[in-house]
Amino acid sequence: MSITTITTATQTPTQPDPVEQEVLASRVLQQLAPELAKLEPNDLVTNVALDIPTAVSTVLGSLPEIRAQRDELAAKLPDFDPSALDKLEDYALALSAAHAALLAASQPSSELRAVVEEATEVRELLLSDATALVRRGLLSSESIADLKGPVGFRNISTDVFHLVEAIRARWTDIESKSAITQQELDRAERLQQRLNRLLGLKDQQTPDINAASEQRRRALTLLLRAYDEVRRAITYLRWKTNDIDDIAPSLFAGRGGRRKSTETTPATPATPAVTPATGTTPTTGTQQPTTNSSAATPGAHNAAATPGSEPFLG
Amino acid sequence: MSQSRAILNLGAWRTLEGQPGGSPLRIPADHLVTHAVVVGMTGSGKSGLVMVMAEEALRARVPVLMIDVKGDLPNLLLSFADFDARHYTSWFAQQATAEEAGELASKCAAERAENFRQWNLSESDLAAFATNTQIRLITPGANSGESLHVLSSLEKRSPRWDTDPDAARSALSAAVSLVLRLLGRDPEPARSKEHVLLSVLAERRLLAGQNAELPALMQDVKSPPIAEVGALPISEFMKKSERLKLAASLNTLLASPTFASWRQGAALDVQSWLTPDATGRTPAVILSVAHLDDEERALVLGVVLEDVLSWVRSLPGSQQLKALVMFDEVYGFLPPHPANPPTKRPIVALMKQARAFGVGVVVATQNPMDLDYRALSNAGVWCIGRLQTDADRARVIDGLRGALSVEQTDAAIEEDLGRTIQRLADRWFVVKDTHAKVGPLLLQPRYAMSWLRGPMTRGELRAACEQRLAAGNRAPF
Repeated sequence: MSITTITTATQTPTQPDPVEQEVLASRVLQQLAPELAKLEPNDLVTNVALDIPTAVSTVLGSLPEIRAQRDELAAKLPDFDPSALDKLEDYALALSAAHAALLAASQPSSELRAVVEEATEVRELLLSDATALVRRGLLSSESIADLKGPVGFRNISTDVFHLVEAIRARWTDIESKSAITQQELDRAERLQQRLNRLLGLKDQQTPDINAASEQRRRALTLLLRAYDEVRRAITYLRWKTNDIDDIAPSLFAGRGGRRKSTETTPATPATPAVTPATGTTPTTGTQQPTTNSSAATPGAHNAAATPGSEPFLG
Repeated sequence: MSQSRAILNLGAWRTLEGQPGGSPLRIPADHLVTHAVVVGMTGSGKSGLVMVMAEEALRARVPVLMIDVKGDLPNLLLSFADFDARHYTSWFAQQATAEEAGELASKCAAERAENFRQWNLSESDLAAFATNTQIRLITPGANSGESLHVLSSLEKRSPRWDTDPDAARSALSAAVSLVLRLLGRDPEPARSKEHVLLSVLAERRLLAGQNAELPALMQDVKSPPIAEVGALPISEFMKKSERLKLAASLNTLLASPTFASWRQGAALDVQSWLTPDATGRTPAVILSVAHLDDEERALVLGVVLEDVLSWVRSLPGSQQLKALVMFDEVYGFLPPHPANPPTKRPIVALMKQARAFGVGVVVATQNPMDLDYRALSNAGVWCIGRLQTDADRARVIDGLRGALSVEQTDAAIEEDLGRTIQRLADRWFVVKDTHAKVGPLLLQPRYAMSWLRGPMTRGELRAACEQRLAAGNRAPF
């Protein structure tokens, strides 16, 4: 039985307040700590490319319909472990709490935000001027070739440093031909130093952030495993009705091109994800069969594409 | 542009009954001259297929104009020249520590390298693509890419007034319509008095070799330098009080800071966009309007597509594919009658006329019910991903009917095709090419050379542009 079931079972008010019945996610996370700790590092998901709050909402919103399948799953799929289904709510709540903990731990200080904001603007301004100077032949193209880009605090700091250095090195040539002033360069240099100092202070908090990040990956791993298991089972159970996405929607659906997990692991051309028309057991990501299709019958089309040919050439 | 028959390698294929095709699905580029429609529900892989088609066209040295509504076509900027992990590091830096970012980048690069190998794409293929392609990102009303002067057809005199005044007049008309829509006035060229007056006044200046900038036009509206419009004296055509109100509205528009950002940047000149530069690199122009609201998108795209249409009509006839115009998520821009956004007329006209000039149009949507029938019935290549609703499948099969042979339009076969479409897995498509003598087949698009990260924010667009610049490519803006 899940933690949430135990907790809610002890509350028996005559007219239960749904809000009061909500289980504290942080408590569930605490109670799942031993299970989370058991996960091996190699088993953890590596890239959290999901919108966590949306994924949690999707799972929690799907629970009533998923639970309605429990008896049939237990009866028809003896190998199916119903604990995956029973623990879905706990796993979703734990993930929610772990995500909140990570956000709280990684929140930059207000001064850091302000300095980064100014440094970003300074970087863009200097880069724009430097690009013009490169085109004029007053700076070498190498001076901006190694810039790291505006993504990431350290990258911004490094870029400001490089830009200031590059411009100072040719200052006598540039001074009268650019809008850049000595005061701007001094300010940029001080800004970069301040940013470095603040990033150093932030590093002191990094162990907390790393721990929170690790805990979130563990919670996500548990949820994805359980949810995928449940989806696979329901897909099999309701193969003919083909309504898995109505009962337990994919957590990766509706994200446009951000389908990292599938994008980076497609079926190979040699074995594309398609199952011939045999009505065999479905597997996640496989082509569903086109059973008894007269369109699939040789001769149904006056000229069906034949394997080994170049169907669209000639 | 290559004169030999260009071939596009779209991916792996199977017969409808699931037998492997055994070879890549190769399609002659000129089959796209009769346009293509890509449909499929969310997550079916439409954008990935559109990206692969764009990449293949570019590899065949065909210039591409990509209209981006959702924000993910700029992923083309993330087509790196090799398998090196350093390209990915900065993209993970924001959501991870430096150490984690390095690990994630290495893992991502290794996964992608493996996928490239599986699809027989080598580092030299990536390098050739990067070397031969000039990607340009245009973001009207924003500076994350290159800004666009959307009223340049009106405010800046185009050389087309000397060579092709009809085309220049069409572009001018679209720009005047845009101004009138922004003013909340009737933008229809055929019935709007304001449209006629502004067009006449602007054309007078442009034909005289001048620019027709809005401040000058405003003065012309207040004190017209012409005595008549058509056969009527100016005072009878539009009363002075009405003209003063129109001038006041123009002044308010000119004072708007938002509007000012639409009057900055590169001139709207599709011909120069799609002409290879001096280095001979094939241009890929991404026009991204993802940051604009729905009405602004329709207005800007209406003006741009009118210019595309004008440019197409100026080309010599051709049966080879000379350029490809791709519109991902065309939903709402090409609706059935009676809806008539400013984008509809030029897209329908392109799909009816552009084939004669060697310009193909590819439209993709998740909602085929929302497409004008003329777009569907003019398409020669169909790529259909999974569709869940009966209405969507019926609509597609109805449109596809013209592309099937008589034997294939049997009701039972259509029903089977509908079932197949309903049950397709993600990233599989039923493909029908009306130029080919074979029936529909199944396509799994190849792995894209571009890193398909999904929709990109303005900051990410800037970062991607700077990354390309730092990597030695010409600045996309």
